[in-house]
Amino acid sequence: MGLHPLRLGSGCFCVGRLSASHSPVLMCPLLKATMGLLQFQAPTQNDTMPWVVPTTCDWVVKFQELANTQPEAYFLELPHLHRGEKGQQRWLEEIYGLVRLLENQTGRKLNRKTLLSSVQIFMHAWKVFGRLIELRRKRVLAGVWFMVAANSFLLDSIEIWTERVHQMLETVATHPPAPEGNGVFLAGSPIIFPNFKLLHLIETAGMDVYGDDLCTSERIWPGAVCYEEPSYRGIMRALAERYHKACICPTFADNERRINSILNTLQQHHIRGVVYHVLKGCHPFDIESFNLEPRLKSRGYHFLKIETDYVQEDSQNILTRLEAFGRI
Amino acid sequence: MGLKVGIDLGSTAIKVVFVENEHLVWKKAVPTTPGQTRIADHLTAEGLWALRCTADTLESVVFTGYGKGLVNGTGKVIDEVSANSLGAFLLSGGKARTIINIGGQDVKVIRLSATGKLLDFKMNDKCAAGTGRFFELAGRILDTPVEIFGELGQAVADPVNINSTCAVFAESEIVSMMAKGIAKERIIQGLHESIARRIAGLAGGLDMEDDFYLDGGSANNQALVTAIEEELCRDVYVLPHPQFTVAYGAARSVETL
Ligand code: SF4
Repeated sequence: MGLHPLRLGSGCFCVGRLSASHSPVLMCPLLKATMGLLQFQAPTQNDTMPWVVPTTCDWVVKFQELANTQPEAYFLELPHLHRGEKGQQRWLEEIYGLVRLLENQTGRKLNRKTLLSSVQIFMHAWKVFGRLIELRRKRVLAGVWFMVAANSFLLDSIEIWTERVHQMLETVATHPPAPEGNGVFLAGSPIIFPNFKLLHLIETAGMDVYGDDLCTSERIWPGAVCYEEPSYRGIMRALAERYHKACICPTFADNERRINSILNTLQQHHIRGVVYHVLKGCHPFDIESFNLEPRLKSRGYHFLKIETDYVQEDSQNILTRLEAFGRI
Repeated sequence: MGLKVGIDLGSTAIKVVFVENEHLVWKKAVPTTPGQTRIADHLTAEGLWALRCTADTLESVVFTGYGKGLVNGTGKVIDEVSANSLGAFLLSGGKARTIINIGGQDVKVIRLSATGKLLDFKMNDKCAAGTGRFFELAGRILDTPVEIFGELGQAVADPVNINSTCAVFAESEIVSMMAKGIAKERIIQGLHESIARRIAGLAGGLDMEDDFYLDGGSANNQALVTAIEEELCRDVYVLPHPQFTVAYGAARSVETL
């Protein structure tokens, strides 16, 4: 439809302070920073375009009410049970609703051809992202650089992102891998540029992130969109499934696959431990940690939960824990 | 003779030990002030002088603690959890399986294997409740030196209940209790119990095993030890020089580093 989605989440501590006086103290820092950012600088692409807000966690649902910005949010009502037919059907209806909204806004019609070409564009990006992951697993690309590349997704047009990351990979692929080190898996609440505090501390403690399941990083790409029939309805159904049924965000209630997915990556890539990041106030990931920790430990994996926000003052405390974790 | 030096640059105190073979032959603690390298050099020189030794008898110097990254020198470094594990394990004659460390600004619960290997640990985040700094703060409000907290708390049969786990709120809770005229002994014992509850909460997620050892500067407080024993329903042992366990572990770590 000629539109490009922009991600609004922010990792900036400074702008977060702008919203501190009119937001709950224990609000998720990511949304607090996003609120500050919106006050500081309105979305750049097109002010008349709606914000599309999937109703994931409670903070997200109440965000518009707190931020009180224009234009109004368009809520995509996310069924929190996603393994059953009922939830999937409701989600598909939501997606059709979104299409109608965008068609009204742009005066353009979404058709099978444009949908197919968009799926193709994302397929290219997905391949490049797969290669990015591969180079990190091979220790050619340090965890922090991987995160920079992943974070830049949805900040510019998808074609430009794909091309630039591809160029970067061409150069990086010729570099020798870093020596076999102390690799960890990073899970939990999202990490958004420029708040790379935890990544830097992990590196300072002599470890590197070999894999993650953050929704701002590896989990952006759940895999290719597979459609059985290339009709308009067929592609729409496949798209809806890809980003709902296949999604392993902890805001879903029936989410056993998430733990299995983490266990698979640990096993396949010989990663010995999980650093679990919880942004203060982020309930879905905090709650999940209580289930994940015993499950991982019972299989012999190490687990370290770090609850923090965007401030720097707890860095030394976190570093102490990470250094010890690296020696277990 | 070969001397191994361990320097624990903590957030409230700098502790230095000299170890000869496995014996702790000299130790000293001073409050933390800026200029970690200078203080470390000075204390090392003081130790050598006290032992009537020269610098060429130094076999190794190992730094640990929050300030370990701030010293310029040729010594090795080890993280404080590992140094603590090793120190407590060796000083307990290989008996320690669970260590509770109350440091200047953190509390740790550490699990060890039968061979002294670090198995798991829990540590508080940035909140100072239950830490040495929390004691200092309470001491200032109550106008009582922390060194006599143990003595004052031990005789109390009806301690107050301090609910706050946050150091700042606990501070205002103490102030309002004082304003109501509650005896400071009851407040002090209430503090010990609140810290014991916090430690139990921290240790809750760990698969704990006897024997328990308490170390860090607050371990000499017998009333606190009793409160922790009550809360955990286990005997808690205190090593002879609990403030120096981490520095001792750092000194001995050269044998494994
Ligand atoms: S899931 Fe967590 S990190 Fe994401 S918006 Fe909600 S509270 Fe914030």
